[in-house]
Amino acid sequence: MSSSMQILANPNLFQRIAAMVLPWLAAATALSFAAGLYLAFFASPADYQQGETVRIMYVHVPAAWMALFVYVLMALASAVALIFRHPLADAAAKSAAPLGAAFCFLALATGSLWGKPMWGTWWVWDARLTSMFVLMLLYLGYIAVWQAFDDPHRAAALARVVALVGVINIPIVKFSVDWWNTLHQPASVLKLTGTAIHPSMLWPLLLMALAYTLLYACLHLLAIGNEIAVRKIRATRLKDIEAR
Amino acid sequence: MTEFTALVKRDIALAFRQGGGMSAGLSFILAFLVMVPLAIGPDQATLSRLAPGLLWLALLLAVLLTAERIFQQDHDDGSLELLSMCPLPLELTCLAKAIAHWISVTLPLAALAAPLGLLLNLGADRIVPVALAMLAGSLSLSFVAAIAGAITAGLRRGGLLVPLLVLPLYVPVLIFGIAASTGNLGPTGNLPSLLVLLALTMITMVLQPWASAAALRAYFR
Amino acid sequence: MDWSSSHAGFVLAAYGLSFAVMAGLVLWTIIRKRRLAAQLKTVAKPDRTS
Repeated sequence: MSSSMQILANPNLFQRIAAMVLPWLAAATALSFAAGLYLAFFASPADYQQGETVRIMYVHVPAAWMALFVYVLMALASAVALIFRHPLADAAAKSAAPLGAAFCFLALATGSLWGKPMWGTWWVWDARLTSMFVLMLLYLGYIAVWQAFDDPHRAAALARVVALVGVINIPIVKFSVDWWNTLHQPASVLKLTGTAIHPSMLWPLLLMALAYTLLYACLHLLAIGNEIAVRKIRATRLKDIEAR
Repeated sequence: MTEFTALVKRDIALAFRQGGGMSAGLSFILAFLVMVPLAIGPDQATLSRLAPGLLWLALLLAVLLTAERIFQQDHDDGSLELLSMCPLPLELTCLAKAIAHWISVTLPLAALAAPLGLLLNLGADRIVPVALAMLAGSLSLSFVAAIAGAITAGLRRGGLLVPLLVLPLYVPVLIFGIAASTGNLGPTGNLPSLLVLLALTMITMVLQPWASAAALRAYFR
Repeated sequence: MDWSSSHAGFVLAAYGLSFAVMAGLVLWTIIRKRRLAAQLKTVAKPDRTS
């Protein structure tokens, strides 16, 4: 275990470092959102084909990226918990799940709001939305495992398996659904962003993606802190019971 | 090896004697097939078009129903902990139980479902492609069911969790199973999809023993 | 942005929903933090009755 991992293993030390880093992260988040939103609404063009609705891309795509990114992080944390038995890894995985699920929901909802003006219906089973839907199920399953067991150690052990099996499934599902979609796509397909993205649209997208990532980092640090508090409370209560 | 085959034989015998085998799944498929025309109307053309998809759904859901039973009984009466102390590694024990599930449940259902498609006006020439596709995908269905069954082995209310865990893993099998069912026999028709189903079987075959054993170990602590 | 565009409502709804959900996440996390900190204080107090 590298020394940086060892440092972060101590919950109290983690809390102190998180408390130091958080104000900066929060400031950076606010700045990125401000810059991203300005570019999204005032400094980027409407699309030649889609009109103003292309601006939904700046909240839809970052949400989708985050949904995927967070699941991968969850699986990584589960792997670290499994292999190195790092004490905070399970807490990191558990606390990431609701955040990732929220981003996944946003990807689906904003995708739907983008689809209605574009395709005329609130929901379309295109490759992207279908894969996102399956990802949502993966998140819900993972969260359900933590809820299903009273013993947090048992829940953690099972959740690790679920996260790792799930992450292996993601590329397979993506590949399958993309392939399935090519069978059912009509000949002239309205690509969501066109073949190559123009710089005037790329910058708002990247800035919003950065803002989303920073926001997630802030929330995750806080959420891990909450998990540490939950453990402390449980440990203290158990000690009290034993002491009697 | 003899321990492995003994375990497989034991599970198959248990499944048939306790009615947890294919009979439960078959009843479900028959009930499902009755409800389909009640739900979507008896128009023969519609039924014929939807038949492969509906048959696959029936198969998936029937296998889903039996997933819990793979490990639950042995967990409840303690046999699972005893099995874990056997010289046979826990991973192979889990593999044996998954294979026993395949032989006693998924394989017979996969073979029977396609002919039952006649009830949904499945063209007689489509029965063989559908059956082939289902047989090709059946083993991975059992492996996936065994992963979920191990995770929920000790849960009272595990039934709620199993569909959520299983369905995302079923999606690739379903997609390529349908593709193989609706294609013509031959290298440009269903063969590529059958090969993908084979690949999925191999992936799940490697994944299942590890995942089931890791999940069961959580119950042994 | 052309605010009078026929699809402006969808754009605003998408952004509004996104920020509502993210604000909800922030609030939930912070409120939970305060609640747990308060719980930690009461549990850590040396007591013999609760």
